[in-house]
Amino acid sequence: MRELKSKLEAILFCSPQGVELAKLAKLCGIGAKGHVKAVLNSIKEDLEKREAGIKLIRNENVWRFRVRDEHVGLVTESAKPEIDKAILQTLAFIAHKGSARQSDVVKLRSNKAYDHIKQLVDLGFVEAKKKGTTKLIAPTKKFYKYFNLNENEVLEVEGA
Amino acid sequence: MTKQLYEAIFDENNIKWRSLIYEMVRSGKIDPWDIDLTHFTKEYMNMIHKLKELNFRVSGKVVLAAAILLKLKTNGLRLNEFLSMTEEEPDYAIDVEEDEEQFMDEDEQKLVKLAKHIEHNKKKEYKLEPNIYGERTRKVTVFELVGALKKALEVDERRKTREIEQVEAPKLMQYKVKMVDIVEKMIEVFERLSNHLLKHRRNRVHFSKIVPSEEKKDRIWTFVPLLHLANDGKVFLHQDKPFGDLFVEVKT
Repeated sequence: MRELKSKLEAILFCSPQGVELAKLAKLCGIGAKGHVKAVLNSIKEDLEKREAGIKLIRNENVWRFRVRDEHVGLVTESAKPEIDKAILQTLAFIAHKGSARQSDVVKLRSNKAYDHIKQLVDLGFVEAKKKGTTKLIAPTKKFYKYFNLNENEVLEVEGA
Repeated sequence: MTKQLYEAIFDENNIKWRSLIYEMVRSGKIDPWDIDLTHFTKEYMNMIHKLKELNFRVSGKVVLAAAILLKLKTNGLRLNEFLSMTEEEPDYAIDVEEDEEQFMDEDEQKLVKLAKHIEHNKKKEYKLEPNIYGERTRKVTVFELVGALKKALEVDERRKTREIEQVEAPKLMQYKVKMVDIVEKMIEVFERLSNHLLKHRRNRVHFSKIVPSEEKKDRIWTFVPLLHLANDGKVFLHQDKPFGDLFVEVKT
């Protein structure tokens, strides 16, 4: 178990975007994915127990290390935000509207918004529901949880 | 996969080629380092030889695609670490116009800085290594989200102002145009022409004979109605050679 733990840590350290469970198992030469998952959970618990600067998170089947929330302010210069600036602006606009028609988002954010919305749906921050000839884009629970906001809270700019 | 990428870039009608590049790289279907830009250029040259006419749209697309691929390749190098060497160094002679620099994105500014550093330290040996650690990312803070919203709303405000300006602009350019009734002018010229022909008992007349004066305005307001009359089949206009004498004949 110790050897597998060490291998998994090495792989995850070198893959900031995360690695799927199946791939981790394959890279470590382990057939039983359940065993790999158990070791990953053990790493996660270890980090939590000793209040380490990093934590191990799982997004669907992808595992990756992430800096603890309270230390994000310390690494703003050395680490890139995980959401691209332009995509973040599109997300902020959707959150500001509560829910917005795709056509309105595109009108404000240009044609690139189609690609932004696709990526945001892939990341699970927004959901797109068909509405007539367009789509209705709304933030998901994951979005509110990620930014530590109350569900359905409308994002506002101070003084605006 | 590379073939699919080339096809998207060289296809003039494919407008999603840029997203396709990013999507393929993001999903790991292609590694930018596997794309041979020399081969890419040769493919482009082959296509240029096949083209029967100039098409700047394709060449513009290819140059931009090559730049994007090159940029994606540099992301695979430890550029940030490499740049840290240049942090404390003096500002070298500027090869790039300052005005130009403000339009560059962060990555382009980094590359220009690096180029200046290398230019200044020609004798130094550089060792570029692939970035096996990848670029570290962090969680986005809610403050950054609010900042992004502020920026997006500013862009929206600018767009609205631009739209208002565009709507208002024609008003500012309005000026009075003297309206002319072309039918009235046609009748006037036709009467003048008929009277002249009747008086001289001819069927054909030189254009200059029916112009009231040598003034440019009179020549124009004789010529334009004549064109309309010729179009209506009321008169024939003859001119043997360009800029030669113009004769007017009434259709009988």
